[in-house]
Amino acid sequence: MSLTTSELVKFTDFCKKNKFYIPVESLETFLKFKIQKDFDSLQQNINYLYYLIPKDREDQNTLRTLIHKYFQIEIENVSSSTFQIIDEYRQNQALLDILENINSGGIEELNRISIDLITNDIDADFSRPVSDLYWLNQIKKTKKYKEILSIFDNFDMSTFSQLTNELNKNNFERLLDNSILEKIRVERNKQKSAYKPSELEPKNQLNETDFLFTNQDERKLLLEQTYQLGNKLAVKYKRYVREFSKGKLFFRKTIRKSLASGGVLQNIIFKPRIRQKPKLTIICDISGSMALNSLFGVTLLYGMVTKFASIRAYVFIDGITDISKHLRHIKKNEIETIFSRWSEFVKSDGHSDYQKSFEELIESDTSEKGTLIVIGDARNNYRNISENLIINLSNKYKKIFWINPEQKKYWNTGDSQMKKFQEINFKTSEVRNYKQLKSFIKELDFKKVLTS
Amino acid sequence: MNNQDITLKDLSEKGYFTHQSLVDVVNAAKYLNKPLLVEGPAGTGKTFLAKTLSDLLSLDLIRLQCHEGIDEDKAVYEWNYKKQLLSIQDKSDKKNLFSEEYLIKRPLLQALTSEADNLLLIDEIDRADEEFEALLLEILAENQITIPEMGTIKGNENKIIILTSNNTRELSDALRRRCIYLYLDFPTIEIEKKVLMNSVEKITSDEATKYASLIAYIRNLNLNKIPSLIESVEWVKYNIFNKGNTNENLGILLKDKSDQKIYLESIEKLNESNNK
Repeated sequence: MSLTTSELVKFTDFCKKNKFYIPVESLETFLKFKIQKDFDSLQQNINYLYYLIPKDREDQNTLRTLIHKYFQIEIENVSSSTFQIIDEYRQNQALLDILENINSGGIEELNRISIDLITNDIDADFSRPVSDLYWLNQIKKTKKYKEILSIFDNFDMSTFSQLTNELNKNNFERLLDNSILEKIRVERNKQKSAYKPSELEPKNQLNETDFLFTNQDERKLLLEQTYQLGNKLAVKYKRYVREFSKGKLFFRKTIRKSLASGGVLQNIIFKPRIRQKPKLTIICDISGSMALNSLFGVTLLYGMVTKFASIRAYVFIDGITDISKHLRHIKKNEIETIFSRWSEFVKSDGHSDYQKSFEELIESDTSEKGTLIVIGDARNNYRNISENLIINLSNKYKKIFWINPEQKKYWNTGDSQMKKFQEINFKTSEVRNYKQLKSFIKELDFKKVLTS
Repeated sequence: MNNQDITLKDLSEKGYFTHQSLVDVVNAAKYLNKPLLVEGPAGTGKTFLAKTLSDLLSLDLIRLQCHEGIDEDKAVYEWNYKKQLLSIQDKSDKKNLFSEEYLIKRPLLQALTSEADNLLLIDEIDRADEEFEALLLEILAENQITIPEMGTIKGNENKIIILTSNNTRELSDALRRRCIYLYLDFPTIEIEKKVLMNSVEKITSDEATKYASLIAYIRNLNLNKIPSLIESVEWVKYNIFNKGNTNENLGILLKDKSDQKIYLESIEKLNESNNK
C-alpha cells in the first residue's frame, strides 16, 4: 500500500488541527522525492515524510507523535535519550509496554499515569496561589509516585544492566515530571477561580514563553542560550571598542612604510586614540520581586563576564555587590548557587532600593562616560528617587540601557518608578522571554553610543 | 559523483557506525541536491560524518570553520588590493582591475567554482553571526554567488553541502528552510558498542557492552561537559590496555574537577544501593 496524495492532504489537515503546520515547500520536496523514488511500502513513505519535513528537534518530536496517532506507524527513534530495552525487562510485560510505547512516540501511557497521579491526590486545591512546581513536588512526595518509579527496582540484574536500568529510570522520571506539570497546568486553567498570573497560557514557541513559566528542561535550554547571548553581547561590545580606539590616520608612518613598496600605500597605519576606553558596566536586580528573571539576568552577566576581564558586573538589592570576580570562578551549572547566598547581598532590609544602589554604583565605578545596562523592574518599595540621582546617572554614563522584565502595561503602576528613569536618555525595553532578550541585544548599537 | 545510494555497510567500512535513518536522510539530501544541516551536541561525530562522506564518495573536502565575526572577506572572496595598487602603478598595460586575477577565493567561492567534485563543510554555523547566515542563503538555495564587480557566478552541480551546528543558538528559519535537517544525538548503547569493538584492540563483546552502558550512564549525569565520542573511545582504549580500575584515569574522559566528583559520588551511591 502506498501513500496517496489525498491521504497526505488529510494528514496535513490533521496536523493543522493539532497546531503543527507543514510548509508547502517541504511538502513539495517530499512529493518530488516520492515520485522519483517510487516507494512501495507505506512505512518507507512515512519515514521519508518524517525525514524531510521537520526543520528542528521540536518539530521532529511533534511529527513523530502525530504520525503515531494518525497512521499508527512507529518511527524508529534513535536518540540516546530513548529507553534501552534490556533482557531483564522481559519479566515485566507492563513496564515493557510502557517503555516501548514511549519509544515509538506514543504519549498515551505517560498521560494515563500522570492523570492517575493527579486525581489520586483529591485533596489538592489547585486554586492556591503557588507555582505549578509546588504541586509537582507535592505529587512527587506521594507514595503512589514512588510506587510507580519502583517498577524499575524489582529486577535482579548484572552490573551493567543495572547502569542501563538507572539511566532508563532517570529518563522516565524526567518525562513523567514534564507530563505531570503539563496536566497540572491544564487542571489549573480549568478552574476559573484559580490563581492565574496574567497570560499563564503557555505559548507554542518556547522562545516566546515567559521565563517565569518555563519548566526545568526548558529553563536549562534557555539558560544555556542566554549564556551564549551574554557572550555575544560581550564580543559585540569589544568589537566596537576596538573600532573606536582606532584614531586618525598616522600620515608620517604610513608614507614611510609605503617606501618599501615603491610609494604604494599598502599598509595604512592609524594613530591610537589616547582617550580613555569606554567601559561597560552591567547591573542586575536580584530582589524578590524579580523572581526567576534574576536567574536569567545573572546568567547573562555570567556570559559576559567570563568572556572579557574588563566588563564589570554587579548585583543589587539594597546596595550593590561586585560579582564579576566571583562569577569568573564558578561553573555554568553553579550559577543558581548565587541565590542560595542571597543574604550576603542584603545590605539593610532586603527590599530593593534603587536610590541607594545607584548612589553606591556611581561612587564605586571609576570609569567615565561608559555604558550601563540595568536589569530590573524599578520597583522601589515606595521609596523616593531623587532628581539629583537621575542627573548624576546621566552625567556619569554616556548611555543607559534598561531591561525590564515586567509587562509594559504594568510599568509605573504601584511602586514602579520607571517613569523617572525614562525621562532622561534611557533606552528601555521590556524583556520577558528569550525572543525579546535576543532582539534587545541585536538592536543594541554600541557604535551609535560610542561615536555620538 | 556517482549517483548510487550510500548504504550502512559502506559507512561502517570507513569506521562510521550509525543507524539506517541517518543513511536515508543523507541519501535524500544527495538525491535532491539540497544542503544537509546536521545539528546536535558537541562530540557526536558531525564533522566526522562529513569527512567520512568525502572519503567514501572521493570528494575534495573544503572546510569553512565559522567563528564570531566571520564575514564575506573571510568566507566568500576578497579583492587583492595590494596587487591592484601595484598594477595601477604599472601604466603600460590597461588591465581590468576587477578580474579573476585579483580575486582571492575563500572557501565558499572555491567550492562553487572548483572543477572537481567536492564536499563543502560549513562547520559550527551557530558560532557565526546571524548576518552571516543571510550571506549563505544564495549559495544554499541557488548555487550561485554574486560579486558586484563581476556579476553572478554560477556553480557546478557537483557538490554536497553539509552545515553543522552545536545548537548554541537558534538558526534562522530562512536557513533551515533551505536545508534538510538531521539531528545527531550521542550514540545509543548498541552503536557505541560497535564503535568500541571497531576501534579498541583486544576488547571482548562483554567488556564493550559494559563500557558502553557505563558511558551512556555518565552522559546522563548532570555534567558541565559531556564526554564526546572520541574521549570515551580513548578512555576505554587506555583502560583495556592498562587493565585498570575504571575510576582511575578519569582525566581522559572527564575534563573538569567537579564533573569527576559528580561521577565518583554517583557510582558510590549506586554501589551502596547494590549492596543493600
